[in-house]
Amino acid sequence: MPLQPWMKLLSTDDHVIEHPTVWTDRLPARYQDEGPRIIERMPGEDALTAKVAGKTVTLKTSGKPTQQWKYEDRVYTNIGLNAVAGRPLDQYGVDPVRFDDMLPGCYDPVARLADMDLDGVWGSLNFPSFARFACTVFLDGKDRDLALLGVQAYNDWMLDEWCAAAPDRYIPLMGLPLWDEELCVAEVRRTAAKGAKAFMFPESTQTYGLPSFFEEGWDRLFSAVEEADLPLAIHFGGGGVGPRLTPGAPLACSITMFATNSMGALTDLMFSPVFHRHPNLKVGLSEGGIGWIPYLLERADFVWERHRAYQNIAKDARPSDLFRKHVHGCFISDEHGVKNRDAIGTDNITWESDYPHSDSNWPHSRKIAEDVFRDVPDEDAHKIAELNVRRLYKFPDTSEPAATAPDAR
Amino acid sequence: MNASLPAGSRDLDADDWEDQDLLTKDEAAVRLSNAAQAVRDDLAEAEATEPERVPGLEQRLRQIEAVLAHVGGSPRPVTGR
Repeated sequence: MPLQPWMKLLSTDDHVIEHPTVWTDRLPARYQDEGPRIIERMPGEDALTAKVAGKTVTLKTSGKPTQQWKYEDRVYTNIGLNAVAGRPLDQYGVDPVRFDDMLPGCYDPVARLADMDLDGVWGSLNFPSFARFACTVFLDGKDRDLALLGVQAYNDWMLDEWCAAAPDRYIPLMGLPLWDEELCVAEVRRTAAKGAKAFMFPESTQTYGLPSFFEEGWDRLFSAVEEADLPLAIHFGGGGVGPRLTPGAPLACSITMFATNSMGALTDLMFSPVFHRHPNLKVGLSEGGIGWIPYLLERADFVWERHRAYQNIAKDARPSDLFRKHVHGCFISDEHGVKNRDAIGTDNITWESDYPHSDSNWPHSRKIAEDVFRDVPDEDAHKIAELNVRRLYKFPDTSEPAATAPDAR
Repeated sequence: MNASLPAGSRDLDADDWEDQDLLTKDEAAVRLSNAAQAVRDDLAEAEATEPERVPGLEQRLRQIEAVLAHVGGSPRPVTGR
């Protein structure tokens, strides 16, 4: 059995649903009515809408009171919208849910541990939901002082409440006030001192009107992240846009194509000045899978060989070398990626669960991981399942010697 | 393509980045019930052929049933202020 019982399975991509008082518990009194808070809407009180592919659409609801986030004067319907993928026919549709309708493990760190135990997963790095995958909801804020406090409140909740529930099992992932680089630097330093282990960053910043990887504007932040000796965590979709789709294409096309966002981010990074200016910067790509990486590296190296002479790209470092030094990807159950792990780099791969999203294999994650690792030598399996995460995220095993990895066969 | 969808279903006409695609309680309960049944089947077989596996399987079944009970109802109301 390649995934030995003593190997602890660590996930580099899970999600929290921020509970209703994350911000109201932490924001000063003057911001209680403007900061993110949950509002209750009675059925028929008003039409529920969501922005879908740039259009505002009216949502059908189940007829019971709904809970929605409100931040300043904007209403966000996405406390847990569920679409169509893989659902029984009677659940098809777009329907807001209440917190009471969710698995408690979505928003309760203790309930989450029970779900992880059942799933055979020891550790977890969690991205936000309402705040979006890089805390970009705060870019919407009109009041920048409130937005900064909002980012800090999320980070403090993640550090002081979520991760504090099990410091040896939760890996603290922080948001940044992306509209101001100096504030980002300060937040990196503030949270690193409190125990942060990684910082979220969008896969594409230009979609928010921020500098791209090819422009000036992030060097002081990336230097601060290097000084902290911690990675950036880039989750696909964090740039606020999905894959390019043909008009009329069903959601299945989008779900299938999600990884192309990660491919774009990696290609940008490999041909940008970022890794040349920041030789110690590390980047994790979340939820994009890994099976595509060998081809992309092969193609990028080919392009670099043929076309670097006349372009403003580095002349002295192959893209694949930059990848292996700086980037790691993760997978849920990616047979091609695991089979081609040497072409990716066994030091550059981590595993993910994606709980509580429906892509997750919960409660069978460990069993399915065992199957994926069935032909993988122990040394490689241990790296991918556990040791790479501990090295990249500076997350040593501090659990009691008696603690063993949960066995979820 | 919509014409070929099963009766009673409908399709989203566009990508939705607001969608969280959460595992619902109903979906989780189905997964857990199936997992519990698989363990019960294993347990019945192990009792006859591999008794040394029985304690581990019983523990696994207890875990699944505990989480299933939790999923069945919210432990506490979750509201804003």
